Order: sequence, then structure tokens, then C-alpha cells
Amino acid sequence: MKMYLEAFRIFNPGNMELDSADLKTARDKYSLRRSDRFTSMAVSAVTKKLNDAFPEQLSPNTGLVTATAFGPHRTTFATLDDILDYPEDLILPTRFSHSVHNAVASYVGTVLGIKGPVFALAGFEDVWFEALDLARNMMLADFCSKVLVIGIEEKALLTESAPELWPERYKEIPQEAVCVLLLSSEKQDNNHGRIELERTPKTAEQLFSFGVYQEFLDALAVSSAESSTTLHKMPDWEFPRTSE
Amino acid sequence: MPNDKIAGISGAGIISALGNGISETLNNLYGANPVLPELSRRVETTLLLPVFEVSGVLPKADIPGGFTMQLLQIALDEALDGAKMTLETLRNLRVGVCVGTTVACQLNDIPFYAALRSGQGAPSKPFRNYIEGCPAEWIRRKYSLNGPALTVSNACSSGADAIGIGMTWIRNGVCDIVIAGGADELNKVPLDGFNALGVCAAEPCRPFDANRSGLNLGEAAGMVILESTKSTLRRKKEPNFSVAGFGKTADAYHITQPDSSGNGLELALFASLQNAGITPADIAFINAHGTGTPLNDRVEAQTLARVFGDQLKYMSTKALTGHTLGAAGAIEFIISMLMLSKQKVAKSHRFEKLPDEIPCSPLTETTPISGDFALSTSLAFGGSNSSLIIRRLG
Repeated sequence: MKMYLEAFRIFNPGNMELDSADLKTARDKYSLRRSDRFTSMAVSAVTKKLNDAFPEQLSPNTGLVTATAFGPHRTTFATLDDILDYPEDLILPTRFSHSVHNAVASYVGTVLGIKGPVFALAGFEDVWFEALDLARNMMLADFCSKVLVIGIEEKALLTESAPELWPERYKEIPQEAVCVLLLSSEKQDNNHGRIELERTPKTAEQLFSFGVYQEFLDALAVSSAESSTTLHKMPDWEFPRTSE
Repeated sequence: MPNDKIAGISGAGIISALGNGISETLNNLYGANPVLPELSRRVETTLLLPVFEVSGVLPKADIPGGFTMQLLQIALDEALDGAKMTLETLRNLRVGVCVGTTVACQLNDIPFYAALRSGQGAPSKPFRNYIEGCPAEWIRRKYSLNGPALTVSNACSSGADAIGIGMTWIRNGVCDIVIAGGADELNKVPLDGFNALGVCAAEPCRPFDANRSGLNLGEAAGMVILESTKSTLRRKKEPNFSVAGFGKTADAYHITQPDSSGNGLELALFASLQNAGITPADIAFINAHGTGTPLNDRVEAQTLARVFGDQLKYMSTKALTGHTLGAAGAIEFIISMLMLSKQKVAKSHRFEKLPDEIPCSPLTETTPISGDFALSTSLAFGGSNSSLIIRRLG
């Protein structure tokens, strides 16, 4: 089975960015008044009006995979604020329900009418590669013929503290980003060529805490229906044990 | 289905309030005195909510992944032992890892967060343990494996989804062996969160009963070793069970509530049956998600009745284990496998009275069956529906 790239969108600092107006547009358009910023970023990334091939509607049996390292940690910590600051039985249910990793998948799926297989993944060792590999396996197993993959990371107190908490691993604050790929096993959906996956590790600087390296983004930027872009798995972090 | 596409189950391990290990779980599953939930001994809380905690395992301090990973390791050791696999066996094969969890994906350490938000400097150990303890990556690292490692955080269907994904890896020829399952500890954040959502019962839960008032949380781990036919032949092993089918759909309806029509679940049920190449008539029994909440149980029972009709035999084990979140789908898959092996289905504990809105009663007595297929459903936040089918081989 070949995996074709129908459309893609990359939002990160220095490239195309999502601003608060984008988030407000998505919230208003889809009545997401309870959604947190993490979810609004993802919804905005897949619904923003851009001059590209990203479809406004997807077939209901499309699959969806979200991939993140830290997830909606702003909301997780807001739930902890509630626990610390209020009596235990007064925490806000909405905060808790939005703190789970698959809340974003639920919102995106609802907005786009996706009723196919939906998976929320969490990981620190190139979960982006694993998400694309899962998408490939879902199509290979005939669960669906199209999969929307979203890699997402949000700036939060935890990510901003990462270099201080683990300087050997986090030399800089992890970037906020949303990467969206719409993949298909159908040749008719081919707009940006084939995506190949190679588990043999490639040493490169990981751009986001969920994965992705610059060479891959550069290849996407110049891709055409005749292209073949290979995504390599990045090597796992080697854990040097340190004492406090 | 060709033999090389079978995802055999070579080993299984389980730990929950129902028992530590397969043998104890089986004994207590059919026992006359079902385990009862109690107020938490471990989680500091003022809430008077009964929970199902694992007994006999003391949490170790400061380990990657916390108590969740301790539970996972216990279940994994039993599964590897059952499969007669050593570290060396694993290192020489293409081995994938797929684990479902909810708690281990979040840094829910309250003292850590209190220090962090104060700006006075937080200890780094909880942060490092959180990252290092991401379950699937932790297993891959510990056993020096080279295949895919996925941690699925699909809320309450995570464990079932991990097994379903593992099945596809075997069938697609991606892996020779997959370590799959789910694990979650009882934690203060989901306890407070589920209480805030108004879905916790103040008494032992009663799935599908007219007087059901909500769920009891629990903790558990369930792990299975899935293996390709090529690998079992090479190792001269004959698995007794396989993962025969997996169906996965989304409601696209609401973030916490299921679609009250049950259409998403129905699609998942049919998808799993089609995936297994069987019909509803082939299913000997169903181990339902059955949380004990009014809405889940109504939607689920109505949908099961619609799909399986008069021959429906179903029950829930949550009155014995509690709702173990990311582990639930995995332990219920394993318990279903045990019941299939005994050709005897445990009754749905604490069910007494059929409510008007539920079309047929779950099993009220231990019931003999004759069949090779069982089905286990898992439903989650966000309208995430999973259906797994287990097959007895031989």
C-alpha cells in the first residue's frame, strides 16, 4: 500500500502561526465556548481558511490520530489549581474533562464529522513518527482509506519550565506547534506525493517535543504529486540518570 | 483468514481488585463473595466514594510512571512468564509495544505543581519520572526492543485500543510479537474529576440495574503477549486464543456523553464482526463496558439488544473491579478470555432489577456457554467506541 499526502499544514513560530484571532474564529464558528486553548489550536489548524488543498469536509469514515508529548497541560494544571484552591468537591467538571488527552480528538472529530477510528497518542520519543506509522497501519488494515494526523504542542507552565527541570534534555523551551497531515491510500487524493516511513533512526534536531525535523518540513514545502518524502524515526533519548 | 494473519495470544497477566494474577482473578470471578469497594486507603481525599484498590502491593516512591508502572510490570511479568518468553527471545524478534493509560500521560503530582506554581523552584524528579515513565516507551527501553512503541490515551477505551492496534501490527506483518494492554492507578485527580462530573456512586456500583447511580473508580493493569503464527511455529508454541477482530469508531457527538442513539457503538460492533469474519450469531457472550452510570448503561444495552437480538448474553465486570479507566478495556478482554476458556460466564454482579429503558437483563447467574467467540466493548469520553473479539482456538 502506498501512502499519499493529500494536504498538510504546519503552524509554528517563524513559519505560519495561529494567533488569538484564529482561535476566536474557530471557537465562534463551531460554538466551542467551553474548549480550552489546546483544542482551539487544533480546530483552528484544520479549519482556518487558507489557499491550500485542505478540504473543508471529510468523509465520515476518515480516521484521526493526534500526537502530543505534554498534551493539554495548561488545563491539567488548571484542574490542579482547583484542587489546591477550592474544597475538593468544587473543582470544575469542564476543566477536568478537557484535561484528558483525547478531548482534542473528540472536538476535531466532532467539528469535521469524523466517525472513523480515532486515537490519541502521547509520547516523548518521536510520537509524530509513530502517529504516521499508525495511520499507515490503519489504512493497510482497511479500517479507513484516509487519516488525518495532528501533532500538537502548547506553550504552558510545564513546557516553559522544562529547560530548568531537565537541562540536559531540554536545551530550549519546547516550541508551540500544530502539524497537520491528511494522508490517503487512494491515488486520486495524491496532491503532494508519497510519504515513506523509515524506522532506521536519523540523527537530526527535533523541532517539536512530539517530533519532526527541519529536513522533513523542507521536503513538504517543495512537494508535488510526483514527490516521495521519507520520514525517519528519530533516535530515542538516552537516559543518563542524574541525582538531585 | 490465513494462518499468518492470526494474532495469537501467547500470554496474559492481570492485576486488579479482583485478584493479583490469572489464577486469583478466576477464583474470585466465580466466587460466592464478590469483592466490595471501600474508601481509598491510599489517596488523600475527603470524598466518601467507594473505590476498588489493588491490595497487597505497596507503592514504591519516586519511580518512573509511578504506581501505574508498578501495576503494569506485575501484569507484564505474568504475561511474559505465561508466554515462556525471556529477554533474549524478545531481543531477537520484531517486537512492538502498545499500552493504554490515562494517568501516566499527565503530570498529576500535586506537591510538584504546588512548588512549580509558587515560583520557588520545583523538584525535577517528578518531571523526569513523568517523561521517563511514558509506558510504551519505558517498556521498549527496558527490554531494548526495536519495534513501534505507542502509548494510547483514549480515556476509558485506551486498553482495548492498545490490544486492537497490536492485532493490526501482527496482521500487517509489522511485528512478530506485540506487548499490549493497559494500566492505570487510582489517582486523586480523576477521582475528584469524575466526582465533579457527577458520575460516581456513593455505594457499590450496579451496572444495568434500575437503581444504578454511577460508577466506582478502580485501578488495574492487564497485559497480553500477541504473537504471529510464524513466531509461534518457530517457538513450537500453540496459543489457545487469538484477537479475532477489532472495531473502532467515534461518535462525533459530544466530549463526555455518548451519542444516545448508540449509532457509533453499533458501527464499532459491526466493524469488529466484519473484521473477524463472523456474524452476531457466532458471539457466545459479551463483556460490556457497563459502568453503572445511567446514560452509558442505557445506550449500551439498547445497542447490544439491537445488534444481537434474542440471543444476547451480556454482563459487566465493573461491579468486581471498578472502572479502571485506561486499564479497563485490557482487563475486561483478559477476563473475557478466561470465561471463554472455562465456557462459563460470570453473572453481572449486583444487578437486581431490570429498568424500563433497558430491553433485556444481563446475566443474573453464572451461565454455561458453548462457543468460540466473545466480544468486549469499551466506551470512552469523547464518544470513542471500541469492540474487541476474542477467539478460542483449537
